Amino acid sequence: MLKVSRCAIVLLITLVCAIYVPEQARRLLVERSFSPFILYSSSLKTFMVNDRDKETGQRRMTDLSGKEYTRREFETALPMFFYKDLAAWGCLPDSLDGVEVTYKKVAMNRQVLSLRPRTLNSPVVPLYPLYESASGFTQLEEPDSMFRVTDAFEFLDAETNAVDADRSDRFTKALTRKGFVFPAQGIFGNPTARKPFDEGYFITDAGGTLFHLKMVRGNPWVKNTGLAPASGIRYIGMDENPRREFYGLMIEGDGTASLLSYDDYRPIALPMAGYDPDTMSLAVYCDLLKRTFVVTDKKSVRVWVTDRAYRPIASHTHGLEAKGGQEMLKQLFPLRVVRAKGETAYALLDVSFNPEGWMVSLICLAGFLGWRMKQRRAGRHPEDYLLILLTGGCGLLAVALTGCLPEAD
Amino acid sequence: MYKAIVYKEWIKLRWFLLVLLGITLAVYGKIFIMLRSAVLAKGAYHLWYMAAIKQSVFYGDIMWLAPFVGLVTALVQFVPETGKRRLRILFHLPLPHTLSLVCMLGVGCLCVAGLCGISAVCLALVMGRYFPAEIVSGALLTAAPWCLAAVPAYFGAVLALVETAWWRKAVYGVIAFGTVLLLVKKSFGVFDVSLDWYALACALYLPTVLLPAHRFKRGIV
Repeated sequence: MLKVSRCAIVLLITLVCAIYVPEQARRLLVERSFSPFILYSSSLKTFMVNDRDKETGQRRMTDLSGKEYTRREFETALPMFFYKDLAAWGCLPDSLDGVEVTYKKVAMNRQVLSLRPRTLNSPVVPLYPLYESASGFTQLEEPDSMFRVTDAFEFLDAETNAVDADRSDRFTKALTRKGFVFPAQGIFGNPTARKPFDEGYFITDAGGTLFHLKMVRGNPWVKNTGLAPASGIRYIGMDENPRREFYGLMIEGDGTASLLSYDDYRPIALPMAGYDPDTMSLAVYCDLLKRTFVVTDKKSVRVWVTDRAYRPIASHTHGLEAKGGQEMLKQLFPLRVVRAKGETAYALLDVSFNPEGWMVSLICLAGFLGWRMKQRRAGRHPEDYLLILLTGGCGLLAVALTGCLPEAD
Repeated sequence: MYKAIVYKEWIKLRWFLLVLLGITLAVYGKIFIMLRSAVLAKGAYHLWYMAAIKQSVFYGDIMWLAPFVGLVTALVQFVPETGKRRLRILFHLPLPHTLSLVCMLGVGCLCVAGLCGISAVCLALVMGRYFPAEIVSGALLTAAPWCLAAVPAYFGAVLALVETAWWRKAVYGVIAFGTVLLLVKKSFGVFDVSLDWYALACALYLPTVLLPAHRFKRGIV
């Protein structure tokens, strides 16, 4: 039992060291890093890059040929993005690509969507507020209840904390009439009253079919979209925008991203090849002339530009420098236990062994063997050698702090 | 003999358990008053929205409660035993010393688990008064790692008290504090995918006291 006790102590110390020590080392080795801002200039027909100098941190604005721009020149080259500044300076162009440009038209045609991996990997409480979509007033009002979809559609009154049976029954029947099969697999909406109007929720039923639900003058409004991708629907980021071109960004189970078009619910395929929603951030910029899709991960920023009909115009990949600190961490720590990552909101306990750290492992092992031989205890606790080989410095520290079992035992 | 050990531990712990229970109930009283006043002032829907959509944690006051219970229980059980090396008397009872120690630890663990259980029931009752099952279960899942933090707090304190070498006492204290810090996070439901792994890591604490106790018995530093 004493051996078990000792092993438990050694493993505990190794674990805690492998969590905290590499984390602090990473902070010590942190390098200045910026994600460049890249957009396509409709006037210059090239990509504009706003990056920062790695050494000085100074802004550096260039095009793909390397020509440098002042901030004013940079913004002037991107009139669809910086239209407010251009209008203030009085230099908003009259037309671009044969399209008449006015401040109002540019503002009305702007829409920005973004999706980070963290949004997909976060805890969710399956309760949602259903707003009145046609109240007759311009501002949305907060409801007094929330709904859930289990084996039925249920409204829960917040004041009484009880099910509103009558309203729940009406909504359940409305969904069932349209072919909805309970329980729901996913519920996607934009649960805020701070939006210009309300488009309700998209709900996937037990069979994976997508339904659109709204509350119109207190009554259910349900539409069976008929959309049921084979891999299922993982996420719909709704964005009620007066342009009413699409409901929002849809991510299917296999990671395919599309925009869910208005009224006919047709998915608009997006041009981003190799997009992985679990590791890459996506930003969609819509403007009067084009659509821009920016996918960012640790290795690169990739930009695709299409016209308003989603036909490709241009694309560009901007490589990001690998962080030297990360490589050094792998070499220093053969074992790392990661408890948080930027891509997920969940706490983790991810154990990873880095073969790159073999040199540190061997040095620790040799040092430890020498120490044990000096103590004439080289043959004791052979499991320690294996631990140090696998975990390097953390294991060595744990073994050294724990010591050997008393001689007679 | 086991009954006698359990009775001895009960005599040491009973008043402190009452005080800890009082503190637990007082903290939940405060949370209940806060929720009630918020419901009256802003309406229940506002609180539901904050809990379900913004994922606010209204019950963060209980975050350190379980580690505190674990620490106090360990101190109450083992400070009288380790002072003047009285624990050696326990090890000379006509009983394997491992078993007598496990019996003591078992009583301590039961007390801590009991108080954590009462805390969980209080959380369910207080939250259930104003919130639906989805938010209550979310609150219980959020509070589960806080309760788990009682394990490193209790065993870490016992290890530090029973250990004979001062520097090992410090190491055990630091490791226990580091483990507790891993678990006490005021974020909604973030341990949903990894709580079982953290529980497994905390389970490593269960056999740890035997080695320092053995050193204590033999007087090895």
